[in-house]
Amino acid sequence: MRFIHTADWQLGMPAHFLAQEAAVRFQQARLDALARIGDVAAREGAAFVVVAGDVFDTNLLSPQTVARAAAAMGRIPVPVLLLPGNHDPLDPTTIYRRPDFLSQLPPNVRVLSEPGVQADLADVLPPGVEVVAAPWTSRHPADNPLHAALRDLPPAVGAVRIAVGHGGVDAVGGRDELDILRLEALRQAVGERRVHYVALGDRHSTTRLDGEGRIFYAGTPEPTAFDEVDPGNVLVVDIDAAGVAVRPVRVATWRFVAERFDLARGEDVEALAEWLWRLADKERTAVRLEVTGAVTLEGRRRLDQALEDAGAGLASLDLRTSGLLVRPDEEDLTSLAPGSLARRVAERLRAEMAGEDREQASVAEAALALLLRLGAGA
Amino acid sequence: MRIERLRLRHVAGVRAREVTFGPGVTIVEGPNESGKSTLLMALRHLLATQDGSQAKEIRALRSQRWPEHGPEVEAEILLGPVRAVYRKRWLVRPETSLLLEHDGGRTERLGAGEAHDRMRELFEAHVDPALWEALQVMQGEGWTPVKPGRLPGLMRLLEGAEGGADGDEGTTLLARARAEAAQYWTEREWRPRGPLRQAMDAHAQAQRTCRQLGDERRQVEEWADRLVRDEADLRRQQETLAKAVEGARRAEEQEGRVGEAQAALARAQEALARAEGDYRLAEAELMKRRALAKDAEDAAKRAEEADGEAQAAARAAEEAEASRAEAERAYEEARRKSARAREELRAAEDDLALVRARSEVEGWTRRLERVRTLGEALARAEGELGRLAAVPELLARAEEVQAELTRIDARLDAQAPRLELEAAAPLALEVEGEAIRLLPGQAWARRVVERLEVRHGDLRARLVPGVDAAQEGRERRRLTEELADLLRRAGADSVAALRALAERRSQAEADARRLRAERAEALEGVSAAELEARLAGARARAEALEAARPADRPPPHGLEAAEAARRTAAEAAETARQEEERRLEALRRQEAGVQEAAMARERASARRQEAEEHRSVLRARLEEERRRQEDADLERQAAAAADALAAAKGEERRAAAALEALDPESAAMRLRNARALVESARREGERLRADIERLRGALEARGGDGLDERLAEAEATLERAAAELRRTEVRAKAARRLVELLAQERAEALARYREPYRRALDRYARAVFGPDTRVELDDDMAVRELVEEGVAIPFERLSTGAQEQLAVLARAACARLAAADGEGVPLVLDDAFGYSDPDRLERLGSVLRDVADGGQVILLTCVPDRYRWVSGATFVRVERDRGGGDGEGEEEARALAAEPPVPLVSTPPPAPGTGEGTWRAAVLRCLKEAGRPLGKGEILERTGVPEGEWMRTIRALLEAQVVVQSGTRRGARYALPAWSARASSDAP
Repeated sequence: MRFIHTADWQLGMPAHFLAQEAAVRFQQARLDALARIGDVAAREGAAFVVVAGDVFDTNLLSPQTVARAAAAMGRIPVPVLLLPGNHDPLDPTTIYRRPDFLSQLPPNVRVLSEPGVQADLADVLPPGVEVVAAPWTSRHPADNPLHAALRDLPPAVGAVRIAVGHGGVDAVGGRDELDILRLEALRQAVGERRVHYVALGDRHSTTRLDGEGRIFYAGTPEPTAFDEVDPGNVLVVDIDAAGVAVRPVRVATWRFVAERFDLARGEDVEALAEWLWRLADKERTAVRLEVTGAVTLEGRRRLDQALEDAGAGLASLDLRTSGLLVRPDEEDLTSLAPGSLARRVAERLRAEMAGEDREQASVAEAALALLLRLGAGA
Repeated sequence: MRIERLRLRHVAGVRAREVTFGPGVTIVEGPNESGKSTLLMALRHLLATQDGSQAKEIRALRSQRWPEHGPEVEAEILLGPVRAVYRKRWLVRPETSLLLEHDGGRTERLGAGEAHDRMRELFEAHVDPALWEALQVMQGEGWTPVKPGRLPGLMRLLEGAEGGADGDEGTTLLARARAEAAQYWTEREWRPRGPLRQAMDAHAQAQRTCRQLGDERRQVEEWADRLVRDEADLRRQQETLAKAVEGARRAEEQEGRVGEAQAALARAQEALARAEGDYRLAEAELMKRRALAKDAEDAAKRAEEADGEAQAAARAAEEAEASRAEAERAYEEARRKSARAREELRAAEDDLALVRARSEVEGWTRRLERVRTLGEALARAEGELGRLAAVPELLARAEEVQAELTRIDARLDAQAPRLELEAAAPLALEVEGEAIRLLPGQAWARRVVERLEVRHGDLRARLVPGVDAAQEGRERRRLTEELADLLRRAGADSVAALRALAERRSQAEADARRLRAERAEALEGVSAAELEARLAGARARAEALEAARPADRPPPHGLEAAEAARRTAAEAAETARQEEERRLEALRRQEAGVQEAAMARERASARRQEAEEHRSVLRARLEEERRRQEDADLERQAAAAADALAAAKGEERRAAAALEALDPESAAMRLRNARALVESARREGERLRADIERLRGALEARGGDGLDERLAEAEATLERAAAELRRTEVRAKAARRLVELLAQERAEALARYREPYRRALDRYARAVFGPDTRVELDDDMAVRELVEEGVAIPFERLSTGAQEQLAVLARAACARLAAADGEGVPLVLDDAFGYSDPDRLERLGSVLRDVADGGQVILLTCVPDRYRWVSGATFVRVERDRGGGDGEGEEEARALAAEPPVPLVSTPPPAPGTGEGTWRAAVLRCLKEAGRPLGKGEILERTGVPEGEWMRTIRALLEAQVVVQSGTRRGARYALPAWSARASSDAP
């Protein structure tokens, strides 16, 4: 039996770091990912798709967003099971009970709104498959609902049982929170064959949590941040009494790239420009660039020029220059006659740029640039 | 720059004037209104105002008297190596012309706008316009302190002196930086404006939006949490309600039982009340019967008692009457005794009076006798006294005389000769007629105090004392005679006898005194006649008493016995009176007792009758009652009622106990509580349901409007606004920082440049105000204060004179510094130093002289004396123009005005073929245009006819009578004749 394990669609997620135009495309890309997942399901012959939580980025979404999401889900050619996660819990604001959602809910989509073994999925699941769900009912539950769902579960007999849960796990960057999943409990449930596979959501990077390969984070299908390790996949899970095989399939179209350049020498500006030039799919790439080192005013000008030229077309360019020192040299100041008022002021600004106070230094840098500009016009 | 010459024509009140200025100091003197200031004004306009200007100031230059002429100014000015002759005319046929003579002899001639621009270019190349402005001080402009820091040219000089090089470049750069900063900040207070303000506002707005949406977001979360809570509460509340309803049902059942018990109790209480009524009725009947029997018995007893009391009262009345009669008798007895005793007392008193009267008669008789005896003895003593009245006085004198005699004798014994005779045989002799006989051995002696003649026989011996003894002797004789006289007058034979008489008189006096006292004592203050009268009275009384006396009464004995008898009688009478009173009192009492007893008897009798009646009534009633119902019957009836009552009480107690056992109060309380519980549980349920409904509605509304998306968008906007603000802030702060640094650097440079200026100014200040003087400058290098001998005085506090002097010195210092660099500008002072004293003026003179060493100084004044101490000055006198007058200078001015201007720009030569006819036509045209008579000068000016052509031309016109002349010589005016005005153009 084959199904698709995915999670963290985060539909309706905003993108602060993007310009408005790019943000719209980014949102659209997340919806388009559903179509690609549908393609994968069809291609792979998956029986269904299970989404392990955070289908929506929040419950408080506009009807338009909800309607578009419902339509996209409807286009997936296999049944889709949605688990409410911490971003979209079954609390009073839940989308899953909103009239606009319910009225547009496609027939192939089911919400796993009751904890435990699902009784009413017989029409969408292949025979011999059971789904144990642990939906979130609030954003901050006293315990992860999966624990309760697994605790008194009798061993699965004559069926492949898939648990669907959501939340951080203590073994991976374990957070000291009430709703943290105890990996040991999951392993035990798997070990005792009370469940055969645990499909998890929350972590945006595709992550395997046990040696046997039965506990997985699917990761988000479209990346959302720079710090995600391996996002952009869905898992194709083959499972039966004999065993389990999990295979990631890439569906992402966007990239989040963080890079660092140390401009020790003038040539590095060129290297940086070269690196930028070479980036593919710029319109779907967000770049975080940290530039350190020291440059002259001319070097800084060239850097800005390079970023402007080579960075054109990027979905976003987050330039971090707090580690970059601008040190004007004699050449920078040749246009200012020695001993002239402008030159004396320039020297003072130069001293301020070399000071500890970064705020003052950046103001001084801009002031020096202004001085040069005004002086040039003289 | 140096001004060499200035020529004005038809400018304001000046018809024409030319002034030549020296290279050093030029003093232009002239009275008020003579147009000194006009010279300066004209020069300013020449340099600044284009000929086409119609500005108010230019129109003000137009002459009122020669309005047909445009004001014209011409100046000859040295600008560095170039000499410029520059002329402008405004308003009427405006014109500008410029002639430049360069060092090497090259010349340039320019006209109109070209001339103006070229001149301006040259001027600005050589002159700092601000300095030029600052160094011309016009009359009435005030002596504001000059601000060298604002004079770029001067600053450039100063900077040059210090080796700085900011100059214009610095000014420009700062201006540009300020312009840049002004995009972001307000000019003075650095308040954000423009894009910075917008970025800040946008950021704040985004923050507000975010906060607001965040609040809404939290509100939604709160609602959601509350909804969850409410739902849980509602479930719990439903259970509570069910329990409360059950509790209420049980309480109501209990309440029903209580009701029944209460009814039973009420019934028992009713029965009890009835039994009590019956019992009380029976008991009352019985009691009434017993009381009636008792009353009847008591009445019988009381009737008997009343009878006894009545009899006793009758007896008592009789006894009382007996007692009264006895008392009456006793009283009568006592009354009689008392009367007798009073009689006896009266008799005893009469006796006493008689005895007293007799004793009185006796007494008065004795006293009268004694008074008489004493009177006689007194009369005797007083007679003796009368006789001896003069004795004391005579005695006193006699004793004095005798004492004097004794003293004289003693002196004579001592002084007077003494005649001592001793008889040897019986001797008879006569001394002074006195026969003296001496027996043998007998001696005789005498003091000789006067002539003493001793005769013895025939012998007559005369003994004559000395003068003193004789005098003494005479005195002695006189005294002896006086003594004898005294004794004679007293009736005494010697002084001793006289003394005895005096003794007797004293005795008589003492006797008289004593007798008078005794007599007075005997009289006891009354007269003898009075004593007599009293005696007679006493006698009469005694006789009367004697006569009234009963004959049988024994005569009374002495006074004491009589008094004792009276006292005894008085006591007896008193005793008898008291007894009488007592008896009377007793009688009264007895009479009252009688009356009382009689009344008591009456009352007792009445009571007896009443008691007997009462007894018979009661007896009758009791008998009646008993006939109706027997006593025993009543007893039985009462006992039965008591039994019934006891039974009812028992019943009531049982019913009460049964109710008590049900604890009705608690039951009621429980019921109330249970009902309240149900009520409150229902209300709570309704509230919760309403709340849940409301929250669901609110959440549905909120959840559906994409709050999180809007929040996210707002956050993105905020982030963008923050980034924009950061960028703008850096730009704004950079511009600000740049302005600050430029200004700071420049200020520091300026501070360095101050020094040369200050040195120059200090030098002048010392020259004028004294060696221990210096000035302090402000940021613009204007004089802030003058420090004299260490005391700083702010500029505004200085005297008007000192302010003016300092203002001039500051300009002088500027002028000197500028001149030193070859870029000098004339220092022009119009009517300065009106407030300066001669001493200061002299010192100022040396300063102006010093300035003039390097550059030009032009002083305009109406008081030339002020400047007499400026050595080497060129004096120029100007006079007031008097219209039409013929005074001194007038001629010259007119000539000057008439003189055609030197053609600076070569006018195109007259076209070939032009000649006299052309000039004549021009003159006619000119006169036609003017429409009024014109003078020669005006005509020449307007027409451009050369002077040399004038006489010929005008003469021809006059001869042809196409032009008429009025006035002669310089007053001549020319006009078209009236008839020809229209046809003038047809003239030949």
